[in-house]
Amino acid sequence: MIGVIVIALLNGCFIGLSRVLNGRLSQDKGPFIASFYNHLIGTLILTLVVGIIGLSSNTSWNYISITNQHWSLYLGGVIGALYVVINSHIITEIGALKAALLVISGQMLTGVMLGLGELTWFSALMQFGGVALIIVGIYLCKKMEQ
Amino acid sequence: MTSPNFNIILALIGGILLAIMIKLNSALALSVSPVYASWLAHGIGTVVALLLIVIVARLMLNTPTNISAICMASPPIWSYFGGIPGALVIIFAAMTVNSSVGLLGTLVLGLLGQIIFGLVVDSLGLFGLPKKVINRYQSLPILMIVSGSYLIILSGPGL
Repeated sequence: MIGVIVIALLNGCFIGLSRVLNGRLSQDKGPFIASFYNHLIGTLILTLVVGIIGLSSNTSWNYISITNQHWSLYLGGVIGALYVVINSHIITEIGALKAALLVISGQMLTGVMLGLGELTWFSALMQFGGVALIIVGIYLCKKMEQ
Repeated sequence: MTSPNFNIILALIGGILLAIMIKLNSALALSVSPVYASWLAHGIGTVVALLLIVIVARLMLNTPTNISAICMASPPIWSYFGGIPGALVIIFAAMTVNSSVGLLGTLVLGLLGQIIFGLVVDSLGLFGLPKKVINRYQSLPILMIVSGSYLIILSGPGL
């Protein structure tokens, strides 16, 4: 149990490390080139991982399930490229902590909006409380920036 | 220099993009595997980032910005490898989601990890980022955003 908790915490650190390295590259090369190298290196690493999984398991490549996807699902990659551009820029301006806090805030508020319509009264109340806390948190972050 | 408010709005937009991206990528991961979905997303992201570079370079040709300065700059070699921890995240997340920690724990602990990492990097000025003084007033927004996120994750809108 402790082992998995540590891995889950480290995972958050890895997210942070990735963004900080991209931010450092962005200082010299700009956020667009930082996003490019982030995705290029990521593709190379994952090609290796996909290859190892493919070789170690006997499952044949399922090309049909790739080509049958609705095109909008591939938008994830397009949005990802834009996201890294934005994050690499802001992290050099407002620092790693504030960038993490504000990105999480935007993420949570969007999550609430995307999930609306599947609510019970209790979960609606919890989300309302969560949204209120985050909005006050953003306001306090903004005050500190000035 | 961009204004502080502009950067805050940009960071929030980043969060909105991230939420939509995760929604789309996890829909893709349902029909192919998570690692495979991430591989596809990274591949598409590489091409899109390259297109963005070309477009931005075109636009900058008509401005006084010096492109050769960007070409000449030599950042530390390690700064090119942000893609490695980024790509590993999906593999570790797949491990913890299917363990006793579950999806909820993976999300909450991941969030805490990000904030702890941010605190350490900012207070020590690591990785070439400007050093920021962390004072006790900063604990209030941290506490509010973390507990607000915890409530939202607990209520389960399927992030």
